[in-house]
Parts: sequence; structure tokens; C-alpha cells
Amino acid sequence: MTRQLNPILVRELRGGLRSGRRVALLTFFLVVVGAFFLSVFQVAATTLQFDSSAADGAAVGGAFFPLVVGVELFFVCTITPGQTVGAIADERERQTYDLLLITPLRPAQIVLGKLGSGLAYVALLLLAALPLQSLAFLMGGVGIQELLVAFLMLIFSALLFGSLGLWSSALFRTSRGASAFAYAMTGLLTLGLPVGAVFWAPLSAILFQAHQSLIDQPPAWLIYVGELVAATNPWSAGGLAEVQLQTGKPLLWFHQSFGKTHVDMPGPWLVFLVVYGVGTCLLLWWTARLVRRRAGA
Amino acid sequence: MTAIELRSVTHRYAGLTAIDEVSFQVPDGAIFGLIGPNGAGKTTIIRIICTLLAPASGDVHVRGQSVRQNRRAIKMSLGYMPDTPGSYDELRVWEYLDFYARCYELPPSARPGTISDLLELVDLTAKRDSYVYSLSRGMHQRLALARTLLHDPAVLVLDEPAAGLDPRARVELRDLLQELQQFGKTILLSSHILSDLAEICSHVAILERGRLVAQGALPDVLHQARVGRRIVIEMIAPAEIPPDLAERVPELRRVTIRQEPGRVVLQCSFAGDDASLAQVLAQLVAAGLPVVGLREDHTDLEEVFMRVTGPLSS
Repeated sequence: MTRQLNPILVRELRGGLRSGRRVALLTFFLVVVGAFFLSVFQVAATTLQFDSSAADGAAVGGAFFPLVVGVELFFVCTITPGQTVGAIADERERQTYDLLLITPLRPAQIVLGKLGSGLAYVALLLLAALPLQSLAFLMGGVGIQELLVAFLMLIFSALLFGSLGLWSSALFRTSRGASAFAYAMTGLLTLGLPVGAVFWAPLSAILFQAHQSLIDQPPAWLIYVGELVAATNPWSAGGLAEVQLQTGKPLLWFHQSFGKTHVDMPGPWLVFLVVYGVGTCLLLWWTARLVRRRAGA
Repeated sequence: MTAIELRSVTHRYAGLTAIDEVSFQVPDGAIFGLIGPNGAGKTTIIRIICTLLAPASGDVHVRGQSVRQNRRAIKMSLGYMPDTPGSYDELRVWEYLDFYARCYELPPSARPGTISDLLELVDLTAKRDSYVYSLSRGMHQRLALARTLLHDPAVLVLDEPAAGLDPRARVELRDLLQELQQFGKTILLSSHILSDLAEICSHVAILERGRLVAQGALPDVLHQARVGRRIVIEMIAPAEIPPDLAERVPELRRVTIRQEPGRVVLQCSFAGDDASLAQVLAQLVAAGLPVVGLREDHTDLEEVFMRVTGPLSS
């Protein structure tokens, strides 16, 4: 049998990329990221009395890069679930789902085709913004490692949020219900940790005052749990990764001291990739199960 | 060979029995009509045959393959058209067919030719590059039929294919189905338009409240219901109908006479075969009646349906 591209991916790319809504969204995305870049550049240049020297360029690049990545991450978190959340529910609503299930396509093919088509558009957004990211790289102050880590984190975020949308789509009968659920979950993943931290901060101060030893010599497991929790949120994981790379620590594995406790720990971005990678696999597996159940198996 | 065989199939939705111990066979090459009022279980049976529902008990075989074990083989041998076939409006007609051709694993070299042939068969060649949303309801149905044929399945399962079509589109669809039967396809279809079914079906099964109330070859089902053939005889008016016509031609029963402009129309039940009918015609002509036409009225299926499904059917 001839190997061929996933039929669903081909169909979605054919039909979906013709959509005027998607062209408008791409334009909006580039305008926002471009305007953001110009504003930050202007502010940085004014603040640093930018005189075109390499050192100043590096300073601007170093400040500019995480901000651009942050804006891209914001778009990935908000746009990606929307690209996949209608994938299954929409097929039900337009009464094409049964026609899909009666073909020899396996549930995994249906799920991966839908995910691929949703992510293809997000990839197009990221690729379109790549020249802006590269400007920061050209200015200096940003290493190839940072660029690579940022890109991997964006891709894995897109994978998880895309899978989340897809899972909601299979879970709910209507696109509206699926959208509401997917964005609630996205909000929980992206804002849950910062909001939780606001409430946790005063509580932890009391707790640590009562147990000073936790500050002087925190147990290693607590440090690892903390890193794992931070890795569930793209902003915290990205921020920690930025600190890791800016302070010149090794990329994959580094030594860190917390009071009298010294631990060797993986890079936060690496933990983030593992957590989001595993999460993506679980969501896709669950979605395929839901599709298979609907197919009467 | 039997194309489709249902063996004591039962299915329930949330405790409610949708179909109950239904068994029937669809012979190879037949056009099989599934008849029943709304909620009789037609769509449930069709969905089970198409592997979209697993039966609670019993089994279905499609060309010898069980829906419980060989779902992939069944999918490859079936073409399914649901009662409201959805479509991808944003695609062009050829892209729509190309998508399903890919789903059915047609090799790339075979796809363009197959799509062209099918568009020609359903008379949509001129619409090849049109967007699906621009097609009329009848064209949509024909496109859906082309889709069911992409992988050249031996069996077509069509749920209410004529629903919502205007008379011309219905006739075109009926002709198309007869053409497909001549190509050797077995067709199982459900419809509410019994006159259409009576004209094209070789076999029927009648369902009511999930139970099978009659089934078999169409003449046998009509015979089982003891309706007989309905004959319409047209004569030039004024025609002197002998008062003892029923005694002189005893094969004619329940004779009703209707006057139309320039015509006298006799409607009656007839229990005999074609040879007896020819004799009846000869007798009428010999009796001096100005017969200008004799035809069989195909509304019998509606009568059978009304008789076997009872007065409570909606």
C-alpha cells in the first residue's frame, strides 16, 4: 500500500487555510507582535541611550527576546485550543462524523490528523513571527540555545493546548460546550499557578517561619516537587529557564544550592517538555478512546 | 450469496428496545427496501449494519463478515449514505471526493480517474470545481451517492436517500439506483416514499416498533398481505359496463368504476398471474368494451404497509 499524507490533514489544510478568518487572525497576530517589538525596541533604545554599539545591541536583544517569546506564548495558549476545539464537535454538528467513522481510518489517524491541521496553523503563526525573534538574535544578547529552548517550549505548549482542545471536542457534543471547557482548562493551566502563588505566599511565610529549617535546609524532594509544579505552567517554566540560561548554567542538568541543600536538577525547560509531552500523549490517547467508543467498537 | 444477514439482532437505548430480535437476509444484487414508520428502528438497523452501533445481542454479517469481528472488511465492502449526509462546504466538489478517496486508501494514481468517472455517473462533471455549498439539494444527494461508490463497494446502504428531493431529483435518483443495480451492486435503502420503493425494490422488510412484521421478495410480501395486484383498466367513455362483469370475469374483485373526462376507469384487485391477466383483457375486448389501456397500479405497497403496521403508526 502506498504511504500517503493523513487525509484529514490534507482536507483541513485545503479547506481551512482558505478561511478569511484565519488570514485575518494571522495579520492581527503579526501586527500585534510587530507593534510590540517596535514599542519595546523604542523604550529600550531610549532607556539605554542606544548608540548602535554591540554592547547596547546585546542589552536590547536580551531584554527584547523573552518579551517577544512571552507574547508568542500568550498567542499560542489562546489560539491553539481554538484551532482544535471544534475538530470533533464540528464534525458532529455538520453531520460528517459518521461518514468519517465508516471509513477505514483508525481513531488515532483521525485524532492525529485533526491535531496536525490545528497545529499547522499555529506553526504558520510562529514561522511568520520568526523573523522578529531572529532580530533579537542578530542584535546579540541571545544565544542559539535560548532560541532553541524558546522554540521547543512554544511547540510543546502548542501540542498540549491543541490536544486539550481536541480532547474537549471529543468529550462534548457541541462546539460551544467544548470551547467553554477547553478555555477553562487553559485558564487553569496558564493562570492557576500565578493566582495560586498569590494565595500561597502569605501562607508559606507563616509556614516557613514556624519551620525555619525548611528555609535553611529544604529537603531535596521539596525542591524537585517545586520544580515539577513550576513546570506545569509555561510562564513559570519559561521564566526559570531564562534565569538558568542568563546565569550561564548548563543547558540540560545543573547544580543548585538552596540554603544548605545542594541538588543536581534538570533544566526547568526540560521538565516542562517532559510534563507537557506526557500530558499531550495522555490527552491524545484519551481522545482516541472517545472516538473509538463513538465508532461502536 | 447473501449480501447482508441479520440474525436475531436486538438493540436498546437507555433501556428502551429500539429493535427486537430482527432477522432478515438481503440477497446479492437485490434492491432491498426497509420500510417502517418513524421510530420503527430503520436507522438503528442501518447503523448496526454499517458498524456505527454495536448490537446488544445477535449478529450481522455483511458478505460473510461479522460486524463484531471484521469491521474493517465490512467498511471496505459497504457504501453508506445517511439520511442527512453532511458535507464540507468549504471544499470543491472534486476535493470532497478526493478526501474520501484518500480515506478509503485509493492509490494516488487511481484517484483522478475514479473521481472523473463518478462525477460523470452522477452527472456532476460540470460542477467539478464548484464549491460544495453551491450545490442544490438534489446535487448534494448525487454527490453523496458518488462518495459511497468511491471504493467500489459491493453493498450500498442508503438511509432515506430521496428525503427532501423534488420529483425530478427523485426520478433521477431512482434511475441511478437501478443503473447501479445493473452494475451488480446490492442496495439496501429506507424510505417513506413507498411508491418509489415499490417501483425499484425487489425485496422489502416492514418494521414496526422495532419488530419485523413482514419481509421477503416484494411479490411474496404483497401476496402474504393478500392484497393481490391492483389493476387499472381505462376505456373510452361512454362505455357500457355489463352489470354481470364480476360473474363473467371472476378474477376481478372489488371493482370500482370512476368517470373521467372522455374515459371510464375501472380499478380492481386481481389475484392471477400475467397469463390470466392477458385472458381477462381478451374477455373484456370480446365483450365489446372499448379498452384503451390496462396497467398495474403500484400503490399496493402502501396498502400492505398500512395493513401490517396497524392504525397506531405515526
